Amino acid sequence: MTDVSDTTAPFDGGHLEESLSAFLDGELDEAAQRAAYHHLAVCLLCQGQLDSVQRVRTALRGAPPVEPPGGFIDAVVEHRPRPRHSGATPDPTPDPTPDATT
Amino acid sequence: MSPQSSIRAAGGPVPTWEQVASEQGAFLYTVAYRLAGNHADTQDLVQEVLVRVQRGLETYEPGSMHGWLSRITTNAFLDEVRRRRRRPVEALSTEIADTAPGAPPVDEALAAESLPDHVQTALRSLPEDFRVAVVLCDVVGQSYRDIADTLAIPVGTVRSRIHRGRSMLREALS
Repeated sequence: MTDVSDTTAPFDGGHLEESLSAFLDGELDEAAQRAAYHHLAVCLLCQGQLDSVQRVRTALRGAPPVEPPGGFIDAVVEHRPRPRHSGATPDPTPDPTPDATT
Repeated sequence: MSPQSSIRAAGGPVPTWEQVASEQGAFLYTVAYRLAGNHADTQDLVQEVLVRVQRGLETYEPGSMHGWLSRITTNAFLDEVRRRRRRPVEALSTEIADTAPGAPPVDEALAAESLPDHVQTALRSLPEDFRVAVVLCDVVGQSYRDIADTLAIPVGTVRSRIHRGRSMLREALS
């Protein structure tokens, strides 16, 4: 599946639309983040969308890790897996970037 | 100790394959489960990822282990999606989720405790490109820039996919 909108217009001070998630994630630049904040203070439509998107985000982020079934990891370690099929994407190059998410 | 655990000049210690499997197994399993949506596909995916880890560790340079594993996991997942598309007889669980949204199989009970079942079901029904972006953002916790690097797509596309993915998911919560 391809994305129809390959780029998103930066937030221009109107309704947040696709900038809403970027606002929640702190991914807008400082000026846009501030403009979005001021817009939200007066726009019920965007406030409502913010609430519903925030619920999804909170549910996903708050979910605890999925526990592997007992013994699965031990069994994998004990029987080192072998390649199942060819034609896979080559291994990615190692990522030297320090972990900025923790 | 395996030679792989020796200190390399460029950075910290490189873990052994066994260490990655044991210490990162729960992280890998969670990311794989959010992508694959059921335990059978998750276990296949985790095993495939660990095969790739085995090869990749030869050139791994200490950095973000979670970032590195997330990239391998999303590549392996999307490779499998494409492989199954070429052989449609193997219906993807993600595709049948749309038409058969009934009670989850018994082995999904565990996951239902972790994430509201209707959210996990909705996640499974998201188009893969959107699901991958949302999982990297909200499960792995990557920045948009890191997601763009992981998926080799522009940041604007990442932003769009995350928002549209979440918007599709919110229907499940409304």
